[in-house]
Amino acid sequence: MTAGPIKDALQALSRHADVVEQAVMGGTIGQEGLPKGAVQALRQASALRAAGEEHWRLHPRLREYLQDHLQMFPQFQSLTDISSKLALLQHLLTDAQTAVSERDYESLEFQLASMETAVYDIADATDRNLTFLAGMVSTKYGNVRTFAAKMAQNRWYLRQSGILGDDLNRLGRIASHVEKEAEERGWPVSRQIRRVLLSRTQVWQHGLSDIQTQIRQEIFRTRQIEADLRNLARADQFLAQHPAWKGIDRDFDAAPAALLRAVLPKMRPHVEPTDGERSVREEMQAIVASLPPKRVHIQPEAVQPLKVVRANDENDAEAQALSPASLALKALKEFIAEADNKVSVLEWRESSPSAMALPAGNWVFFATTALEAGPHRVSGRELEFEVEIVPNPPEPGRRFSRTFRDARVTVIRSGAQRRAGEAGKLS
Amino acid sequence: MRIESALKQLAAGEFICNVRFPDEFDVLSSPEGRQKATEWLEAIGYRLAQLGEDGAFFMAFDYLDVEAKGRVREELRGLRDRLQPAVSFLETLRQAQSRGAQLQPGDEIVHSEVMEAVRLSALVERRLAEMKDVHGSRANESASDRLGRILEILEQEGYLALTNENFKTYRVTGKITYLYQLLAFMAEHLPEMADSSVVDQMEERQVTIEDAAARPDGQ
Repeated sequence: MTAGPIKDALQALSRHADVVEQAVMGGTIGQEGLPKGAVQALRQASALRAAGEEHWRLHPRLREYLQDHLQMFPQFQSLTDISSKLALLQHLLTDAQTAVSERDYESLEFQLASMETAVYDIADATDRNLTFLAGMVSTKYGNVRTFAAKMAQNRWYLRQSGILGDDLNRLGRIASHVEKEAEERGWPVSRQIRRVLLSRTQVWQHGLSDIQTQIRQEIFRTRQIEADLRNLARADQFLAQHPAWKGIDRDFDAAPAALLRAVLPKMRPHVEPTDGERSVREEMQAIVASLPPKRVHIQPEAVQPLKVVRANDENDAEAQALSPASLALKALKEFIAEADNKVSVLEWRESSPSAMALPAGNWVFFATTALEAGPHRVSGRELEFEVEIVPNPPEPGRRFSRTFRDARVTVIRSGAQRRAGEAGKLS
Repeated sequence: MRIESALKQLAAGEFICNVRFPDEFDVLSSPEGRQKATEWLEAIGYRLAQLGEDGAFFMAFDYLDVEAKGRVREELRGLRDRLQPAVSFLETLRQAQSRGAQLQPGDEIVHSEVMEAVRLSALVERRLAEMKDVHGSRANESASDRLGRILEILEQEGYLALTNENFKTYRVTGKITYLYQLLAFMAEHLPEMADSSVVDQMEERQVTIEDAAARPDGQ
């Protein structure tokens, strides 16, 4: 066999590819509008067959091949028609029976070979359709871009799966009938029908049932999506038109799951201080080491209350002067009270360690001033002292002295003597 | 460790979906994980709930006692605060996506693609410019910046999860089903949102599509 006729056929198909494409997509094509010579060339290549008056159709095998090729492209995917193949199988059985009755064994052989091919074609087409449907359904949006297109596609697939289901039912009946007729005549095609078609019919039915369930679920889901988007649009419009609306203020016996959502207060775990685990203790030690140093609180010194010493208060223990000057003054008073003569304050100082603690000038001034302020309580007696200032010699050029260096002190008289003296003056 | 993480997220009131918490969702989807979570929640008076058949998991009240009813009443009274501004933002996205609206769990939202759609629609662009409740927005900011801010807010609210920071790509989380359930509840109980009071363009278009789908070629 030379390549001449094949090459010519392919060249004709290539030269008139537009017409071939039109025939694939449209089913049949009319003579009108076709390029001149196209129909003749394609008929010569056995690509076109008559389909009524001035209408043409593609050779079925060529159509099948091209449609099969188109399934690689998503926008052209569709289920392969099985019903026509089943019809072909029935026709071939009828033709085979006719050939037997006419004893046309050459034609019978051809029909049986064609039946075998048809059986394989039916099985392949069914497998392909189920695989295709399952694949499209499992893909969320398939080959469509919009939600609305997906909804339409789902409905179309449901319809197609229904047609496929009808085809499977018909396949079961026709395959059984042909198998029975072939078995009675001892044709090998009966074994082929049993092995390739009848044994797989139930599996195909189950597969199709699963796909139909999935398609219905997908349709339900797309309807739910449609409702969700509709509610979203209406809610937005409602909230915009009712700015004062806060919520729904009434009780319900039942609520959707979403409203029953619960939230627990935030969990705050604590470290157990007595935990003996090494990692916990190390962690606690690290935390303690990172703490800032302990602040030392310095307590302010207590404010000492002011000690008030009251002068000439013999009964107040605190008033009893403990200072050297006070002690010396007290001793001086007692000495003067017992002395017969005048006592020199300066000379007496030398006999008193307390008085010696003061400078001489300070002692003389202090004692003189204190003794002049009477009366004094000395050893239970009330006394007054006569203080005779011993002035320093006047400075050169001056007549009187402004300073004194000593004082001589004596007891003036007792209080009783004074009162007695005053009484005598009055009388 | 995944079950511990899942339980903590449930206790915090999160919606555990396969977009935002994939590991936790996997462990709760397994029979063992679901059993453990159910036991733990029931021990403290709650139950493991799910938004739909394969939706997000969350912690719910076990039964409608006084506390639960009070909580439900409080949720319903403050429904507006729950819905805004998410409803407004999502509706803007839906309008921008038009017939290709993809606002279901797992759907991808790309900032540049939405922005392209906004530019093609003067109505949506104006809606975007006039939107309130966009926290941190400025009066003179661009539409792109405003859209970016809206996507960030939706992410903070838990409705979106950022999957690619460079291309500003987000994925819708399972929490959106929670929002849809609230909206469905509103539609059921508010006469203003009932089907009978509104005729949608979407419904009219649906009739047209069905007619086209009924044709043998399906085109």
